[in-house]
Amino acid sequence: MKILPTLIRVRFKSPSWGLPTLWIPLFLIWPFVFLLSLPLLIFALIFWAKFSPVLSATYQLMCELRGTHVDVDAKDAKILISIH
Amino acid sequence: MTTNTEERRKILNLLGDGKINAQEAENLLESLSKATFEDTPKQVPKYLHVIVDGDKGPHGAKVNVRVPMNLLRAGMKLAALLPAVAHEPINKALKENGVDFDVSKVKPENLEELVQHLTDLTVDVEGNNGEKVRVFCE
Repeated sequence: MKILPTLIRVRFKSPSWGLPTLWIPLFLIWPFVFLLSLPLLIFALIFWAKFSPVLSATYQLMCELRGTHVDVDAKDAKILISIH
Repeated sequence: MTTNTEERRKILNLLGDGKINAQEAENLLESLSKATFEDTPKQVPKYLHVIVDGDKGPHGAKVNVRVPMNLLRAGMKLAALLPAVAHEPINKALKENGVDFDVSKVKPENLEELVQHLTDLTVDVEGNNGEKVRVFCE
């Protein structure tokens, strides 16, 4: 069974302001996202026949985000997003 | 690899003993190397890399993007599930950006073939001002 990404590392820096490197624990956020979207999921499963394969494909897409790495180093901004 | 070395030695010995001529030896060595290549399992690339190294000027930027190949597959599978009503605005948006492509014609069996060919893609461009763009799968 595929697992959703557990951590995301984010860093942003511009000439005016910036963030330190943040390690966001996605594994703590996913349960809240699931609970908040539960009513919508139930509604869609009941009234939309094709929702099940879409949900499955969306879940698979989110799982495959693991390993994505975006690093932009420009003169006026630095952005780092890394999904583990 | 040891077997390959032994086979090559046998062929060279046959050539040295005069049992085969040079042309036959060359053909045998060529077919041996071909067989070895086909037996070697091809490493499946896991990531699509896009690396941009901008020019040395004040506006140069460095970009390093790594995308899992499975993410591309999953994205294409999701796109194939788009409802028909969404195809028209997507096609229109693509056309406005210079991409004449019909998303309704994308089939799941074509997607895997497309991703497979993408693994062989390598782009290496160097601009006049020293900027470099590399796209490859690893």
